[in-house]
Amino acid sequence: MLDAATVSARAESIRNGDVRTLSRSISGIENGDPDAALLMRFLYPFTGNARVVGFTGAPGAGKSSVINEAIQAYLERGLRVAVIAVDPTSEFTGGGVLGDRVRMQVFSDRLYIRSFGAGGCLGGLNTACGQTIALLDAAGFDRILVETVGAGQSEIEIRHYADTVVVVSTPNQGDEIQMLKAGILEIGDVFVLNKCELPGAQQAAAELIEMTHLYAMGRQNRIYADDRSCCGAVAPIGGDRKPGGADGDQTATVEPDIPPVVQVSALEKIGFTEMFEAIERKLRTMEERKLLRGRRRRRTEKYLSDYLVRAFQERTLRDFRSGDTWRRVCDMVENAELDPLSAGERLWENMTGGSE
Amino acid sequence: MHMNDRKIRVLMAKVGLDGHDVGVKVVARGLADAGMEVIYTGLRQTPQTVVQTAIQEDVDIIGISLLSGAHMVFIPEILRLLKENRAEDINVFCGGVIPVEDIAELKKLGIKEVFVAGSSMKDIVGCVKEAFQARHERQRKGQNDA
Repeated sequence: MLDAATVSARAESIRNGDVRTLSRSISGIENGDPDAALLMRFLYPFTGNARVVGFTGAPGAGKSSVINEAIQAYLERGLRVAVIAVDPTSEFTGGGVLGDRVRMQVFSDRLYIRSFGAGGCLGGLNTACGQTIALLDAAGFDRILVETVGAGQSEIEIRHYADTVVVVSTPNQGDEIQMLKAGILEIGDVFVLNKCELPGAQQAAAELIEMTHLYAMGRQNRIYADDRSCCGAVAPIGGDRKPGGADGDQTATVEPDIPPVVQVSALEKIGFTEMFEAIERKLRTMEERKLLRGRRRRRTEKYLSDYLVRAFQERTLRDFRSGDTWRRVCDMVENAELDPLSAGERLWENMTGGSE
Repeated sequence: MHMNDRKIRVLMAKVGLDGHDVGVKVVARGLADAGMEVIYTGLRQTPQTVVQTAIQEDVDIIGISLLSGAHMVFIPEILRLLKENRAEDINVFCGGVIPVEDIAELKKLGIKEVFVAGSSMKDIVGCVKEAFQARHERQRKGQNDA
């Protein structure tokens, strides 16, 4: 374990752009080093400036190629960009070939790319992702682009980490029935249809647009409900609309925020200015409507409740399971003297201090 | 966390005008099957991009695949850049089409091992594991001394 002065110096180096120290600290986070936790204490006050853009979609949809174009757009505008690229690793060996970088062939002092193995991830993200985002934020990156592993229908964890989510899809991923299904299509703030040079692109784009309109209202209500519960007021966009009260009752006066659908081709390098503008416009709109604050609040709540669940499992529950009460109640269920539901309730009462 | 729990991270790289990437992909897959995280750069890298990538990815070792005959140009430059960036603790091994008479020279420069055609995956995995262990022992010692 390092002393506070050393770790403080390390935090300072990271803020001054020392890539070596940053890289090693990210490894520290991944490996659960105690030094990494101390480092975070020094750096967390400097977070909050970066905008996090998540990219998700099916394997082979072109997430890495699309990010490669986004990187260039940000660099051209003088911003500092970091990329977190997550690829699958084997459940059996723990190893894997991480190949996202192959599509990202831009090099600049203002660009940092880090590959992650998904490990025991949930929903396409590495468990170290949240803390790595905070570290990169404190290191002064303006935009942090997060690429999930190729996602199926329901890996939607990214919505907890990103300020805005880009869903990358391609033509010929199924008919309009696929568009009706719950899951990944519900979390897109911007839809990017890659490989638009292929036949079927117009049809796919039309179906996506249809879908975004269908979802818009339900989605809107849900977001505003979350936002109200988190931080009170929701401001309408622009000044010419009727302003509502500060208690959030103005939801009805806000135009539904329909996610844009952008057609691009990584092969022919078309559509990326529009994509860049759509992402940035979305971030601005969310900021104006004070939605970013709500999302970040939810992110904090999610992180802390996950932390407590883990701590509970690793500490309280483990001790409790080695005790007599646990064994006795398990025996009773096994012998059919007690049903599992009542047994669960009895254990809960016992654990939380109720008398057995 | 113990060193044994740490994932070994390897960068596999192709440098220069050399499109022969079957070997590098086989080795990448073999190392992944041995439980390592293997980052692949893709074709036509420069010594600068290889070193920059290795530092960003915080890898333990770099594997360079060369079948173009340019190894005596690129490899010394990669080793020089690692030193220049205070990253000489990252080991380097190489493989591909390397004439026997160059192998001793490369090792003298600081290359961990040279694997030519016919090398076994077991030997390559062994070389990487050994380099990883040596690196982390050095790091631990350095930290205790500090």
